[in-house]
Amino acid sequence: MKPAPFRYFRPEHLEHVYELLDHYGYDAKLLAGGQSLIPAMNMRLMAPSVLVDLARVEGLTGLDCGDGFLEIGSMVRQQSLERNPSVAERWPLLAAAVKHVGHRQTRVRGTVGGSIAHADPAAELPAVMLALGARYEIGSSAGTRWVDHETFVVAEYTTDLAENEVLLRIRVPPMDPRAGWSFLEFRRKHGAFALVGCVALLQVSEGGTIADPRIVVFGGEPRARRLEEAEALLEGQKPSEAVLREVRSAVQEAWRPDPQPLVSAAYLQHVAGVLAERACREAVARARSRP
Amino acid sequence: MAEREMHDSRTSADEGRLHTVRLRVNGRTVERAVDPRRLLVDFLRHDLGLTGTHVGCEQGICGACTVHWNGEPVRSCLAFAVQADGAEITTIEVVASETGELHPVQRAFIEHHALQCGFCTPGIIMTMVHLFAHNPSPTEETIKEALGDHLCRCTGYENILRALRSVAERPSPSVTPDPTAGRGDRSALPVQHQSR
Repeated sequence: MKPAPFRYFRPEHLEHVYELLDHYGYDAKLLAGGQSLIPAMNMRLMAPSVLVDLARVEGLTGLDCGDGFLEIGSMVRQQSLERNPSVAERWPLLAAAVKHVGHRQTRVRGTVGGSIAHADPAAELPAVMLALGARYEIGSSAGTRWVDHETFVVAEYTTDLAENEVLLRIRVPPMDPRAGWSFLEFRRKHGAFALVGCVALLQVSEGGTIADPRIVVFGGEPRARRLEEAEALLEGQKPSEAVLREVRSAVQEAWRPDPQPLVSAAYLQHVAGVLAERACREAVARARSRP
Repeated sequence: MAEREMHDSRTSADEGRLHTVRLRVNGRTVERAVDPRRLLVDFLRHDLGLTGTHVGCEQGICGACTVHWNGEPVRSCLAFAVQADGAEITTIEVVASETGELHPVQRAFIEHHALQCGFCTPGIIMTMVHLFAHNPSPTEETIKEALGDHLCRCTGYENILRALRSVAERPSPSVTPDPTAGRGDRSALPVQHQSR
Protein backbone atom coordinates (compact mmCIF):
# COMPACT_ATOMS: atom_id res chain seq x y z
CA MET A 1 0.00 0.00 0.00
CA LYS A 2 0.98 3.64 -0.16
CA PRO A 3 0.61 6.29 2.53
CA ALA A 4 -2.57 8.34 2.75
CA PRO A 5 -2.25 11.99 1.67
CA PHE A 6 -0.80 14.52 4.08
CA ARG A 7 0.49 18.07 4.26
CA TYR A 8 4.24 18.27 4.64
CA PHE A 9 6.24 20.92 6.46
CA ARG A 10 10.00 21.11 6.81
CA PRO A 11 10.71 23.91 9.28
CA GLU A 12 14.20 25.09 10.08
CA HIS A 13 13.60 26.43 13.58
CA LEU A 14 12.06 24.96 16.70
CA GLU A 15 9.78 27.97 17.09
CA HIS A 16 8.16 27.07 13.80
CA VAL A 17 7.82 23.43 14.85
CA TYR A 18 6.03 24.53 18.01
CA GLU A 19 3.72 26.81 16.00
CA LEU A 20 2.79 23.93 13.72
CA LEU A 21 2.16 21.54 16.61
CA ASP A 22 0.11 24.11 18.48
CA HIS A 23 -1.93 24.75 15.35
CA TYR A 24 -2.48 21.18 14.14
CA GLY A 25 -2.41 19.36 17.48
CA TYR A 26 -3.25 15.71 17.23
CA ASP A 27 -3.48 15.84 13.43
CA ALA A 28 0.27 16.44 13.16
CA LYS A 29 2.99 13.84 13.52
CA LEU A 30 6.68 14.58 13.83
CA LEU A 31 8.89 12.97 11.19
CA ALA A 32 12.34 12.11 12.52
CA GLY A 33 14.20 9.32 10.68
CA GLY A 34 10.97 7.80 9.47
CA GLN A 35 12.18 4.23 9.91
CA SER A 36 9.28 3.40 12.22
CA LEU A 37 6.75 6.01 11.09
CA ILE A 38 6.99 5.41 7.34
CA PRO A 39 6.46 1.63 7.48
CA ALA A 40 3.38 2.33 9.63
CA MET A 41 2.18 4.88 7.09
CA ASN A 42 2.94 2.52 4.19
CA MET A 43 0.67 -0.07 5.82
CA ARG A 44 -1.82 2.68 6.74
CA LEU A 45 -1.56 1.69 10.38
CA MET A 46 -1.05 5.42 10.77
CA ALA A 47 -2.39 8.17 8.56
CA PRO A 48 -1.47 11.55 9.99
CA SER A 49 -2.85 14.42 7.95
CA VAL A 50 0.18 16.59 8.69
CA LEU A 51 3.86 15.66 8.86
CA VAL A 52 6.40 17.99 10.42
CA ASP A 53 9.85 16.95 9.22
CA LEU A 54 12.54 17.69 11.83
CA ALA A 55 15.47 16.99 9.49
CA ARG A 56 16.43 20.64 8.97
CA VAL A 57 15.58 22.00 12.41
CA GLU A 58 18.56 23.74 13.94
CA GLY A 59 19.92 22.46 17.20
CA LEU A 60 18.81 18.84 17.29
CA THR A 61 21.86 17.05 15.90
CA GLY A 62 24.54 17.69 18.53
CA LEU A 63 26.54 14.79 19.96
CA ASP A 64 28.71 15.98 22.78
CA CYS A 65 30.32 14.72 25.98
CA GLY A 66 32.20 17.83 27.12
CA ASP A 67 30.97 17.81 30.72
CA GLY A 68 31.25 14.06 31.23
CA PHE A 69 27.62 13.47 30.37
CA LEU A 70 26.69 12.28 26.88
CA GLU A 71 24.28 14.71 25.28
CA ILE A 72 22.55 13.36 22.21
CA GLY A 73 20.38 15.61 20.08
CA SER A 74 17.12 13.85 19.31
CA MET A 75 17.81 13.92 15.56
CA VAL A 76 21.27 12.33 15.82
CA ARG A 77 21.23 9.39 13.41
CA GLN A 78 21.71 5.97 15.00
CA GLN A 79 24.69 5.39 12.71
CA SER A 80 26.40 8.53 14.06
CA LEU A 81 26.09 7.17 17.57
CA GLU A 82 27.35 3.79 16.38
CA ARG A 83 30.44 5.30 14.79
CA ASN A 84 31.34 7.84 17.45
CA PRO A 85 34.67 6.93 19.10
CA SER A 86 33.84 8.67 22.40
CA VAL A 87 30.63 6.68 22.70
CA ALA A 88 32.46 3.43 21.93
CA GLU A 89 35.09 4.17 24.55
CA ARG A 90 33.04 5.70 27.36
CA TRP A 91 29.53 4.28 26.85
CA PRO A 92 30.32 0.82 25.44
CA LEU A 93 26.93 -0.51 26.54
CA LEU A 94 25.21 2.05 24.33
CA ALA A 95 27.60 1.40 21.44
CA ALA A 96 26.89 -2.34 21.68
CA ALA A 97 23.12 -1.86 21.87
CA VAL A 98 22.81 0.50 18.89
CA LYS A 99 24.36 -2.14 16.59
CA HIS A 100 21.26 -4.25 17.25
CA VAL A 101 18.79 -1.58 16.18
CA GLY A 102 17.04 -2.49 12.94
CA HIS A 103 19.29 -2.97 9.96
CA ARG A 104 22.42 -1.17 8.93
CA GLN A 105 20.40 0.57 6.24
CA THR A 106 17.78 1.80 8.71
CA ARG A 107 20.42 3.09 11.13
CA VAL A 108 21.67 5.49 8.46
CA ARG A 109 18.35 7.34 8.58
CA GLY A 110 16.83 6.34 11.93
CA THR A 111 17.40 8.67 14.86
CA VAL A 112 18.18 8.13 18.53
CA GLY A 113 15.34 10.38 19.67
CA GLY A 114 12.90 8.91 17.19
CA SER A 115 13.51 5.38 18.45
CA ILE A 116 13.01 6.42 22.07
CA ALA A 117 9.94 8.55 21.35
CA HIS A 118 8.42 5.71 19.30
CA ALA A 119 8.68 3.58 22.46
CA ASP A 120 8.41 0.17 20.85
CA PRO A 121 8.43 -2.32 23.76
CA ALA A 122 11.03 -4.43 21.95
CA ALA A 123 13.33 -1.52 21.14
CA GLU A 124 16.93 -1.55 22.30
CA LEU A 125 17.62 2.13 22.95
CA PRO A 126 14.85 2.71 25.51
CA ALA A 127 16.05 -0.34 27.47
CA VAL A 128 19.65 0.86 27.54
CA MET A 129 18.64 4.41 28.42
CA LEU A 130 16.68 3.03 31.36
CA ALA A 131 19.71 1.08 32.57
CA LEU A 132 22.00 4.09 32.16
CA GLY A 133 19.66 6.52 33.94
CA ALA A 134 19.19 8.86 30.98
CA ARG A 135 17.09 12.01 31.19
CA TYR A 136 15.19 13.70 28.39
CA GLU A 137 14.67 17.35 27.52
CA ILE A 138 11.25 18.10 26.09
CA GLY A 139 10.26 21.37 24.44
CA SER A 140 7.11 23.18 23.39
CA SER A 141 5.87 26.72 22.97
CA ALA A 142 5.42 26.71 26.76
CA GLY A 143 9.12 26.08 27.42
CA THR A 144 11.28 23.08 28.22
CA ARG A 145 11.28 20.39 30.89
CA TRP A 146 13.39 17.39 31.85
CA VAL A 147 12.09 13.94 32.76
CA ASP A 148 13.66 10.61 33.60
CA HIS A 149 13.17 7.51 31.48
CA GLU A 150 10.46 5.88 33.55
CA THR A 151 8.41 9.06 33.37
CA PHE A 152 9.05 9.45 29.66
CA VAL A 153 8.25 5.96 28.39
CA VAL A 154 4.82 5.12 29.76
CA ALA A 155 3.70 2.01 27.85
CA GLU A 156 3.87 0.49 24.37
CA TYR A 157 4.17 3.27 21.78
CA THR A 158 3.18 5.76 24.47
CA THR A 159 5.34 8.49 25.95
CA ASP A 160 4.84 11.42 28.24
CA LEU A 161 4.95 13.82 25.27
CA ALA A 162 1.91 16.05 24.92
CA GLU A 163 0.66 16.50 21.36
CA ASN A 164 2.49 19.82 21.05
CA GLU A 165 5.81 18.67 22.53
CA VAL A 166 9.10 17.62 20.96
CA LEU A 167 11.88 15.47 22.40
CA LEU A 168 14.93 17.74 22.08
CA ARG A 169 17.82 15.80 23.54
CA ILE A 170 18.93 12.91 25.69
CA ARG A 171 21.43 13.30 28.53
CA VAL A 172 23.23 10.15 29.63
CA PRO A 173 25.26 10.05 32.85
CA PRO A 174 28.86 8.92 32.59
CA MET A 175 29.44 5.17 32.76
CA ASP A 176 31.92 4.15 35.44
CA PRO A 177 34.95 2.87 33.52
CA ARG A 178 35.15 -0.03 35.98
CA ALA A 179 31.51 -0.98 35.47
CA GLY A 180 30.59 -4.34 34.06
CA TRP A 181 27.94 -4.41 31.37
CA SER A 182 26.23 -6.74 28.95
CA PHE A 183 23.67 -6.42 26.19
CA LEU A 184 21.98 -9.59 24.95
CA GLU A 185 19.08 -9.96 22.58
CA PHE A 186 17.18 -13.01 21.38
CA ARG A 187 15.41 -12.78 18.04
CA ARG A 188 14.46 -14.92 15.07
CA LYS A 189 17.03 -13.50 12.73
CA HIS A 190 19.49 -10.69 12.22
CA GLY A 191 17.70 -7.38 12.10
CA ALA A 192 14.41 -8.68 13.45
CA PHE A 193 12.68 -7.24 16.48
CA ALA A 194 13.84 -8.58 19.82
CA LEU A 195 11.64 -11.33 21.22
CA VAL A 196 13.37 -10.73 24.53
CA GLY A 197 16.45 -8.79 25.52
CA CYS A 198 18.43 -8.11 28.66
CA VAL A 199 20.71 -5.29 29.73
CA ALA A 200 22.99 -5.73 32.73
CA LEU A 201 25.01 -2.98 34.33
CA LEU A 202 26.81 -3.40 37.65
CA GLN A 203 29.86 -2.72 39.72
CA VAL A 204 32.07 -5.30 41.40
CA SER A 205 33.62 -4.05 44.66
CA GLU A 206 37.18 -4.65 45.89
CA GLY A 207 35.83 -7.50 47.99
CA GLY A 208 34.28 -9.13 44.95
CA THR A 209 30.65 -8.29 45.75
CA ILE A 210 28.19 -6.72 43.37
CA ALA A 211 27.09 -3.13 43.81
CA ASP A 212 24.43 -1.05 42.07
CA PRO A 213 23.13 -3.83 39.82
CA ARG A 214 20.73 -2.78 37.06
CA ILE A 215 18.96 -5.57 35.23
CA VAL A 216 16.61 -4.43 32.47
CA VAL A 217 14.49 -6.85 30.48
CA PHE A 218 12.70 -5.74 27.34
CA GLY A 219 10.47 -7.33 24.70
CA GLY A 220 7.02 -8.60 25.47
CA GLU A 221 5.98 -6.33 28.31
CA PRO A 222 4.54 -2.87 27.56
CA ARG A 223 7.87 -1.24 28.31
CA ALA A 224 11.39 -2.16 29.30
CA ARG A 225 11.76 -2.32 33.04
CA ARG A 226 14.27 -2.99 35.75
CA LEU A 227 13.75 -6.34 37.44
CA GLU A 228 14.13 -5.27 41.06
CA GLU A 229 13.67 -8.83 42.27
CA ALA A 230 16.80 -9.85 40.37
CA GLU A 231 18.72 -6.75 41.42
CA ALA A 232 17.98 -7.42 45.10
CA LEU A 233 19.45 -10.91 44.75
CA LEU A 234 22.69 -9.47 43.37
CA GLU A 235 23.24 -6.44 45.59
CA GLY A 236 26.07 -7.07 48.06
CA GLN A 237 26.47 -10.68 46.96
CA LYS A 238 29.39 -12.49 45.37
CA PRO A 239 28.34 -13.50 41.85
CA SER A 240 28.44 -17.25 42.45
CA GLU A 241 26.78 -19.73 40.13
CA ALA A 242 24.09 -20.21 42.79
CA VAL A 243 23.31 -16.50 42.85
CA LEU A 244 23.18 -16.33 39.06
CA ARG A 245 20.78 -19.28 38.99
CA GLU A 246 18.59 -17.43 41.47
CA VAL A 247 18.65 -14.40 39.18
CA ARG A 248 17.50 -16.60 36.32
CA SER A 249 14.58 -17.96 38.36
CA ALA A 250 13.63 -14.53 39.66
CA VAL A 251 13.48 -13.07 36.16
CA GLN A 252 11.52 -16.03 34.85
CA GLU A 253 9.03 -15.53 37.63
CA ALA A 254 8.78 -11.75 37.60
CA TRP A 255 8.77 -10.95 33.91
CA ARG A 256 5.34 -11.33 32.33
CA PRO A 257 5.46 -11.00 28.54
CA ASP A 258 2.59 -11.25 26.14
CA PRO A 259 2.94 -14.27 23.86
CA GLN A 260 4.16 -13.62 20.31
CA PRO A 261 2.86 -15.34 17.20
CA LEU A 262 4.09 -18.95 17.47
CA VAL A 263 6.05 -18.16 20.67
CA SER A 264 4.49 -18.84 24.05
CA ALA A 265 4.86 -16.54 27.04
CA ALA A 266 6.36 -19.42 29.02
CA TYR A 267 9.11 -19.85 26.44
CA LEU A 268 9.83 -16.11 26.43
CA GLN A 269 10.01 -16.12 30.23
CA HIS A 270 12.43 -19.03 30.11
CA VAL A 271 14.65 -17.24 27.60
CA ALA A 272 14.48 -14.01 29.63
CA GLY A 273 15.83 -15.84 32.65
CA VAL A 274 18.61 -17.45 30.65
CA LEU A 275 19.57 -14.10 29.12
CA ALA A 276 19.58 -12.42 32.52
CA GLU A 277 21.88 -15.08 33.92
CA ARG A 278 24.22 -14.84 30.95
CA ALA A 279 24.16 -11.05 30.98
CA CYS A 280 25.11 -10.95 34.66
CA ARG A 281 27.93 -13.42 34.10
CA GLU A 282 29.21 -11.38 31.19
CA ALA A 283 28.91 -8.11 33.08
CA VAL A 284 30.84 -9.53 36.02
CA ALA A 285 33.56 -10.78 33.67
CA ARG A 286 33.82 -7.34 32.09
CA ALA A 287 33.99 -5.63 35.48
CA ARG A 288 36.80 -7.93 36.56
CA SER A 289 38.76 -7.40 33.39
CA ARG A 290 38.81 -3.63 33.77
CA PRO A 291 42.15 -2.21 35.04
CA MET B 1 8.09 28.00 5.46
CA ALA B 2 10.26 25.75 3.35
CA GLU B 3 7.52 24.47 1.05
CA ARG B 4 6.71 26.00 -2.27
CA GLU B 5 3.24 25.66 -3.70
CA MET B 6 2.66 24.36 -7.17
CA HIS B 7 -0.78 24.08 -8.64
CA ASP B 8 -1.27 22.21 -11.85
CA SER B 9 -3.42 19.40 -13.09
CA ARG B 10 -1.37 16.90 -11.07
CA THR B 11 -2.19 18.24 -7.60
CA SER B 12 -3.16 15.49 -5.19
CA ALA B 13 -6.86 15.44 -4.67
CA ASP B 14 -6.99 15.89 -0.92
CA GLU B 15 -4.12 18.26 -0.23
CA GLY B 16 -3.70 20.29 -3.39
CA ARG B 17 -0.06 20.96 -2.69
CA LEU B 18 3.00 19.56 -4.42
CA HIS B 19 6.52 20.17 -3.28
CA THR B 20 9.51 20.86 -5.48
CA VAL B 21 12.35 18.47 -4.83
CA ARG B 22 15.81 18.99 -6.24
CA LEU B 23 18.44 16.29 -5.88
CA ARG B 24 21.17 14.45 -7.73
CA VAL B 25 20.43 10.98 -9.02
CA ASN B 26 23.21 8.97 -10.61
CA GLY B 27 25.23 12.10 -11.14
CA ARG B 28 22.54 14.21 -12.72
CA THR B 29 20.53 16.96 -11.04
CA VAL B 30 16.80 16.44 -11.23
CA GLU B 31 14.02 18.72 -10.15
CA ARG B 32 10.42 17.60 -9.90
CA ALA B 33 7.16 18.56 -8.28
CA VAL B 34 6.02 15.68 -6.09
CA ASP B 35 3.21 14.73 -3.83
CA PRO B 36 4.82 14.54 -0.38
CA ARG B 37 3.55 11.00 0.07
CA ARG B 38 5.54 9.82 -2.95
CA LEU B 39 8.09 7.33 -1.60
CA LEU B 40 11.64 7.73 -2.81
CA VAL B 41 11.57 4.24 -4.35
CA ASP B 42 8.45 5.12 -6.35
CA PHE B 43 9.95 8.46 -7.34
CA LEU B 44 12.99 6.67 -8.74
CA ARG B 45 10.91 4.07 -10.53
CA HIS B 46 7.98 6.09 -11.83
CA ASP B 47 9.07 9.70 -11.97
CA LEU B 48 12.60 8.95 -13.17
CA GLY B 49 12.10 5.66 -14.98
CA LEU B 50 14.88 3.96 -13.00
CA THR B 51 13.20 0.62 -12.47
CA GLY B 52 16.24 -1.33 -11.29
CA THR B 53 15.36 -0.53 -7.68
CA HIS B 54 12.54 -2.80 -6.53
CA VAL B 55 9.66 -2.54 -4.10
CA GLY B 56 9.34 -5.59 -1.86
CA CYS B 57 7.91 -5.16 1.61
CA GLU B 58 7.58 -1.37 2.07
CA GLN B 59 8.63 -1.95 5.66
CA GLY B 60 12.40 -1.84 5.36
CA ILE B 61 12.91 -5.53 6.00
CA CYS B 62 13.49 -7.16 2.63
CA GLY B 63 16.16 -4.81 1.25
CA ALA B 64 15.02 -4.90 -2.38
CA CYS B 65 14.73 -1.11 -2.39
CA THR B 66 18.27 -0.41 -1.17
CA VAL B 67 20.02 2.56 -2.80
CA HIS B 68 22.87 4.83 -1.74
CA TRP B 69 21.97 8.16 -0.13
CA ASN B 70 24.99 10.44 0.23
CA GLY B 71 27.15 7.34 -0.13
CA GLU B 72 25.38 5.19 2.47
CA PRO B 73 23.00 2.28 1.82
CA VAL B 74 19.42 3.12 2.80
CA ARG B 75 15.92 1.74 2.29
CA SER B 76 14.31 3.89 -0.36
CA CYS B 77 10.86 2.57 0.65
CA LEU B 78 11.31 4.28 4.01
CA ALA B 79 11.84 7.80 2.73
CA PHE B 80 9.60 10.26 0.99
CA ALA B 81 11.04 11.83 -2.15
CA VAL B 82 10.64 15.25 -0.52
CA GLN B 83 13.06 14.20 2.20
CA ALA B 84 15.72 13.56 -0.45
CA ASP B 85 15.84 17.22 -1.43
CA GLY B 86 19.53 18.10 -1.70
CA ALA B 87 20.70 14.49 -1.47
CA GLU B 88 22.97 12.50 -3.75
CA ILE B 89 21.25 9.24 -4.69
CA THR B 90 22.95 6.37 -6.48
CA THR B 91 21.04 3.39 -7.86
CA ILE B 92 21.86 0.00 -9.34
CA GLU B 93 21.86 1.51 -12.81
CA VAL B 94 25.33 3.00 -12.30
CA VAL B 95 27.05 0.05 -10.62
CA ALA B 96 28.37 -1.27 -13.91
CA SER B 97 30.79 1.11 -15.55
CA GLU B 98 29.87 3.56 -18.25
CA THR B 99 31.27 1.18 -20.82
CA GLY B 100 29.20 -1.68 -19.48
CA GLU B 101 31.97 -3.37 -17.54
CA LEU B 102 30.41 -5.21 -14.64
CA HIS B 103 31.37 -4.51 -11.06
CA PRO B 104 33.26 -7.47 -9.50
CA VAL B 105 30.21 -8.19 -7.33
CA GLN B 106 27.98 -8.35 -10.41
CA ARG B 107 30.46 -10.59 -12.25
CA ALA B 108 30.66 -12.89 -9.26
CA PHE B 109 26.85 -13.12 -9.07
CA ILE B 110 26.77 -14.35 -12.65
CA GLU B 111 29.72 -16.74 -12.24
CA HIS B 112 28.21 -18.31 -9.13
CA HIS B 113 24.55 -18.32 -10.21
CA ALA B 114 23.69 -16.08 -7.29
CA LEU B 115 20.38 -14.92 -8.71
CA GLN B 116 17.28 -16.63 -10.07
CA CYS B 117 14.33 -14.28 -10.39
CA GLY B 118 16.63 -11.35 -9.65
CA PHE B 119 14.09 -9.39 -7.62
CA CYS B 120 16.28 -9.10 -4.51
CA THR B 121 19.51 -8.79 -6.46
CA PRO B 122 19.87 -5.03 -7.03
CA GLY B 123 19.34 -4.35 -3.33
CA ILE B 124 21.96 -6.90 -2.31
CA ILE B 125 24.40 -5.55 -4.85
CA MET B 126 23.99 -1.99 -3.58
CA THR B 127 24.75 -3.13 -0.04
CA MET B 128 27.70 -5.28 -1.10
CA VAL B 129 29.23 -2.70 -3.41
CA HIS B 130 29.29 -0.39 -0.41
CA LEU B 131 30.69 -3.11 1.85
CA PHE B 132 33.56 -4.00 -0.49
CA ALA B 133 34.36 -0.37 -1.19
CA HIS B 134 35.03 0.16 2.52
CA ASN B 135 36.24 -3.33 3.41
CA PRO B 136 37.83 -5.14 0.44
CA SER B 137 38.44 -8.36 2.39
CA PRO B 138 35.57 -8.81 4.83
CA THR B 139 35.34 -11.88 7.03
CA GLU B 140 32.70 -14.55 6.51
CA GLU B 141 30.86 -13.21 9.53
CA THR B 142 30.84 -9.67 8.19
CA ILE B 143 29.53 -10.84 4.83
CA LYS B 144 26.78 -12.90 6.47
CA GLU B 145 25.81 -10.02 8.71
CA ALA B 146 25.52 -7.73 5.70
CA LEU B 147 23.55 -10.33 3.74
CA GLY B 148 21.26 -10.69 6.75
CA ASP B 149 19.88 -7.27 5.85
CA HIS B 150 18.33 -8.77 2.69
CA LEU B 151 15.72 -11.43 1.93
CA CYS B 152 15.94 -13.78 -1.04
CA ARG B 153 13.15 -16.23 -1.76
CA CYS B 154 14.81 -18.10 -4.59
CA THR B 155 18.39 -19.03 -3.97
CA GLY B 156 18.68 -20.16 -0.37
CA TYR B 157 21.61 -17.70 -0.09
CA GLU B 158 24.40 -20.28 -0.60
CA ASN B 159 25.33 -19.16 -4.10
CA ILE B 160 25.12 -15.53 -3.03
CA LEU B 161 27.61 -16.30 -0.26
CA ARG B 162 29.86 -18.14 -2.72
CA ALA B 163 29.80 -15.11 -5.00
CA LEU B 164 30.60 -12.72 -2.18
CA ARG B 165 33.34 -14.96 -0.80
CA SER B 166 34.96 -15.00 -4.21
CA VAL B 167 35.01 -11.20 -4.25
CA ALA B 168 36.46 -11.10 -0.72
CA GLU B 169 39.17 -13.55 -1.72
CA ARG B 170 40.24 -11.52 -4.72
CA PRO B 171 40.30 -7.96 -3.37
CA SER B 172 40.32 -5.53 -6.26
CA PRO B 173 41.08 -1.83 -5.95
CA SER B 174 37.98 -0.53 -4.24
CA VAL B 175 35.37 0.03 -6.84
CA THR B 176 32.57 2.36 -5.99
CA PRO B 177 29.85 3.33 -8.40
CA ASP B 178 30.97 6.60 -9.92
CA PRO B 179 27.77 8.46 -10.55
CA THR B 180 29.60 11.58 -11.59
CA ALA B 181 31.22 9.98 -14.64
CA GLY B 182 29.58 11.35 -17.76
CA ARG B 183 27.54 8.52 -19.07
CA GLY B 184 26.76 7.95 -22.71
CA ASP B 185 24.55 5.07 -21.59
CA ARG B 186 21.29 6.91 -21.03
CA SER B 187 19.56 3.97 -19.32
CA ALA B 188 21.41 4.85 -16.11
CA LEU B 189 20.17 8.39 -16.02
CA PRO B 190 16.83 9.71 -14.86
CA VAL B 191 14.30 10.00 -17.64
CA GLN B 192 13.94 13.61 -18.70
CA HIS B 193 10.28 14.43 -18.98
CA GLN B 194 9.15 16.99 -21.45
CA SER B 195 8.96 20.35 -19.74
CA ARG B 196 5.48 21.75 -19.47
